[in-house]
Amino acid sequence: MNPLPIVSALGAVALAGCALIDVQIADPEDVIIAEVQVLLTHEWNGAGISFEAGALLHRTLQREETPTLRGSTVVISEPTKGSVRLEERRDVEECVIPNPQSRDTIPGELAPNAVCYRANIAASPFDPGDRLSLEITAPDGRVLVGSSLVPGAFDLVELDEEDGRCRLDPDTNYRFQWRFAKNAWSYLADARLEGLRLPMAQRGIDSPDTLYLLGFAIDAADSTLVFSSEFGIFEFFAATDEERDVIRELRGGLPDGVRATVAMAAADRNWVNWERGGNFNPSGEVRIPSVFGDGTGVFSTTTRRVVRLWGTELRPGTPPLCGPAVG
Amino acid sequence: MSYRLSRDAAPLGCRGRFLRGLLAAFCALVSPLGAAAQEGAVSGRVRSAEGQILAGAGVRLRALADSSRVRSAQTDRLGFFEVGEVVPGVYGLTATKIGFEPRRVEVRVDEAVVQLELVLAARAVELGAIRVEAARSRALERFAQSAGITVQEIDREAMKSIPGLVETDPIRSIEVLPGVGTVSDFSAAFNVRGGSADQNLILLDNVPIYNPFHLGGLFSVFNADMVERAELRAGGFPAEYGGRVSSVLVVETDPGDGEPSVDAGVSLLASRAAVDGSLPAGLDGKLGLTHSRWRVSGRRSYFDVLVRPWTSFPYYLTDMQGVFEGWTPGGSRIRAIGYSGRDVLNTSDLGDNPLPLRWSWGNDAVGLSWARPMHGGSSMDVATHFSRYASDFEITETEARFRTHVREAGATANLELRPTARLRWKSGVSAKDLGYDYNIEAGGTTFAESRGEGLELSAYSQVGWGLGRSWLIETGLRLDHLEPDPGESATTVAPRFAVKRFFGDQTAAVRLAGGRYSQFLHSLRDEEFPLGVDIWVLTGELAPRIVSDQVQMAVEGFFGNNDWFASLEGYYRTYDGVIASNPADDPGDDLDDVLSGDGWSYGLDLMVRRDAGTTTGWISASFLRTERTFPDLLSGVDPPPSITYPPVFDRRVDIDLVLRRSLTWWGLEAGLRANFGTGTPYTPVLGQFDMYRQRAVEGRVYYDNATAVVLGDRNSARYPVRHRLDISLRKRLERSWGSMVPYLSVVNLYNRKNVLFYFFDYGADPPTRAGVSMIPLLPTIGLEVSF
Repeated sequence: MNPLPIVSALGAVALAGCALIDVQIADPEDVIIAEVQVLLTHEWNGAGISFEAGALLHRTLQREETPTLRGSTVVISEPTKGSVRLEERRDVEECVIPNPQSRDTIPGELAPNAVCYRANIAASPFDPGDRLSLEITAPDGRVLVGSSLVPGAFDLVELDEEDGRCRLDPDTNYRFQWRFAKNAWSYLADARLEGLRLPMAQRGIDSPDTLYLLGFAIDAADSTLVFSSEFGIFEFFAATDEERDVIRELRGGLPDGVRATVAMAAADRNWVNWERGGNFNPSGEVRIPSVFGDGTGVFSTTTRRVVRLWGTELRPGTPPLCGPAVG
Repeated sequence: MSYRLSRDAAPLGCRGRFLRGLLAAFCALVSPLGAAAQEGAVSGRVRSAEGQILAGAGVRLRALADSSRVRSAQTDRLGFFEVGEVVPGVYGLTATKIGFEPRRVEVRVDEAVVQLELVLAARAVELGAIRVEAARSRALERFAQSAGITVQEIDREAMKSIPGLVETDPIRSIEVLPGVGTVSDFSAAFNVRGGSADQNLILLDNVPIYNPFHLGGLFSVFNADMVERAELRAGGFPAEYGGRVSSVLVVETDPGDGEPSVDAGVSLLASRAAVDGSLPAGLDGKLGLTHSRWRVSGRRSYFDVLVRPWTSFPYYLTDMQGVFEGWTPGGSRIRAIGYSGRDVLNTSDLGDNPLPLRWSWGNDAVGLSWARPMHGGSSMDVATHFSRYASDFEITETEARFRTHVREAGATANLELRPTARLRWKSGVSAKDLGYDYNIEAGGTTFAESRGEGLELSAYSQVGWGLGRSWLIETGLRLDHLEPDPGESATTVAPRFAVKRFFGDQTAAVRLAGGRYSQFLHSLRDEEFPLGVDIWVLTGELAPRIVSDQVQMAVEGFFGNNDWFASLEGYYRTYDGVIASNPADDPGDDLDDVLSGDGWSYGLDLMVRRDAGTTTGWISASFLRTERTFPDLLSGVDPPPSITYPPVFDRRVDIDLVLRRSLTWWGLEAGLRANFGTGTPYTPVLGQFDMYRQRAVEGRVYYDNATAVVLGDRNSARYPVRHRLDISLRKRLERSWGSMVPYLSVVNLYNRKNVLFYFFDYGADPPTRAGVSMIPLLPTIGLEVSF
């Protein structure tokens, strides 16, 4: 007799025996959540630094329909360099991209009360190393504030590129290296890989065409990251079986024909605290805020370089090899 | 059987040639006391007919002219006993020991010290009454001899009668003592008088055991068959104690009686066996011993083996323990112990497993000691030990690893002198080499890492003396010094004092004790996580030392023919330099992983115990208040403000009732434990919001299919009261080949849903609060066999 069903049943009974009955509780407090992200991008070919900011304003989960946060003002400023007021956008999708696990769409009920604010400026009014302030005023007069010390200038080294583009020989890895950025709390490498479906299908793997993978280097002494073998550690745990197969395959490098956009960024304290989370709590993740006042949230700043890589043999029109392949 | 009666004409104090030099400084102090004495003393040693030293034998002195004048004592680990402050006269002295015929001699006491050497004859049958008497004598002896320390003990028989989870657990059994609290049924970690779990020193004999838990903390590593008793020292420590600030739990190994025997058992968790015996006489002689005894045990969970024909089960535990004790012709005792245990969780053999992991953790410990008796009950001993704990977790697929190791190697030497019947002086030194390391990494990135080592040097000296029959005074000084690497050296000067005022015939007393205590090792355990893992950190560059000032006062006494004991004890403690993991550390700063804070606790512990009669047991009631203050890194504010809150083990009221009774029905022995405790604190969740994560490559965020929480003030809410009733039934069946004891234990008899934690769902309509309870109604059975 196979005892496994009996054991499983006993385990299920034991777990059920530990479940407490649901109890109705009072509605939650109405708290404004502000997720504000500032990116200072070092453009290639001496084109200076561009400024990009997005602010997603939403609230704690509510049973009742709550007033929209439309009409808020979101201002980022530096005392000597002026301020930038973020514009309200009609579509929340301008702040939110589809969940990588959802592949193609944003969930229908996503952020029903969320409002998106954005600003894109080719010549940034602010510089790496600045201390920026955030002030948000909601339509009902509630005010949220924050402050962030922008990480210092961020430079990649030993990268051969042409206008921020380079190639990798198929199925090889490349080691990104960078210089220490002052005030940076961690370095992240966020990659969007496109054109995966066909080459993976040739290897017998049913892959989404686009995949996002994250890489981390979290201290000053760790200033290298191998693409693509050291990317995708965190996605691996939540991935589907097929996606795991893709991530495993990518440890050998980019397949021929796959293109990747990689943002190498130095992140500030606020970004790390919000993303990393705090103590254990069974009801959800504890996020350490950097927005205070009549609400909570994050005001993070990062300085970044964006590199576009192409897995391909040397052909006419292809960019230079990023650098020597690593094993 | 024979006994030898000898008398010394004068007090032993400063006469001995050996002692004279060492005790010159003390003679001046002692002389006035000795000169004032109008009472005598009886001391000596108890041996078996084979020459074996009998530790733990009870000695009772009863005046022939007045049978109400009774004094008692117990032999120490070297077989010595001493009954001081005896009014001159003729006494009947009775020595008892389990497994031996009681021995009675007549003793004439004058103003000097009477020296005896008593030999007891072996007896085949052990009587429960003698066991009870031995325990009671030990309690009386401790009561008369120690001024300040708070000690509670549970012997093996009592342990087995306390209903428990699956099988008898020495650490779980002390949960029922006053001042001891637990947060979760799923963890055997305990808190004493407002101290955190890492402030308890857990010793297997004299060897420290770190994280002594199997199955994620559900059970301790100690096999009850190998344990003679567990003794919890909860406060008022004299200078000889150091290393932890909250409590010392000593699990004493039972070396057996030297006769070949086997104790085995099977429970729903594991099967086990313990074997004991002695070396052949010829081998004893070759080793320079007069006699010896040893005991070894092994234990292993069997579920993985049981289901192996059908499937793989990914977990097993195993442990082995051994003790050897030998005696030299001069009466010295040599003792060696060893322990090795492992838990292994390995899912790599499970089919269709996307994330194969391997987690192995466990302890290894060895100890060797040599104790030499000296004239008049004095003694010296030296010991050395090594202990280590290692936990290694790995998900090979992602190169994710979590490692935490701690090790300790040490040597100690102690000298105890008894210049007079009223004066005890003890000094000692110790040296310990400590080391730790931990590491969390994944995908080539190290998220947390630290390592360090240090040399800890300690010295102490303490003196205890009696002023008449009414006062007992202890003072002492301890120095603890750490040379950490990396980090700066730290030294703690720790004075200790205790005063005890006896009433009646030394059966009631008021005592006051206090002192400073320090600790160089911490754990970064997240106390809010129900199945916490200790990550050990040594004082140094990363963490401060803990310094705790403590004072306690107790009223206590025996009554009802010494069958009953009651105590009421109040205490106040401060904790400076306690640590917690920094949830907002700068990844680029290796030195901010740890937060340093302080705290305090005060409380009252009440205990009423009955040691004799058909129903024995105790009721303990504890009142506790404790708080901690740390920088509030979760606030996100820079620089962080301070936050003061009750820690998760702040259970204000905790009451335990433990009863043991032999039933006439079927000859069953019943045990009962009832517990009531007020709720422990938790941090309320005021709201939830959708989790978004930032995507640097897009400059936008994405929804992460999860929720984050908005928290209220830290630990500002409390769970409901906890209460539970456990029972056990044991039946001893005597057989020609030995005996067996089937048992039934039922935990949480009325299936009380005590809350382990809540989870809130504000996304539901209406919002709800669900949760997970602690252990539900859980009957377990087992069988013990002895032959």
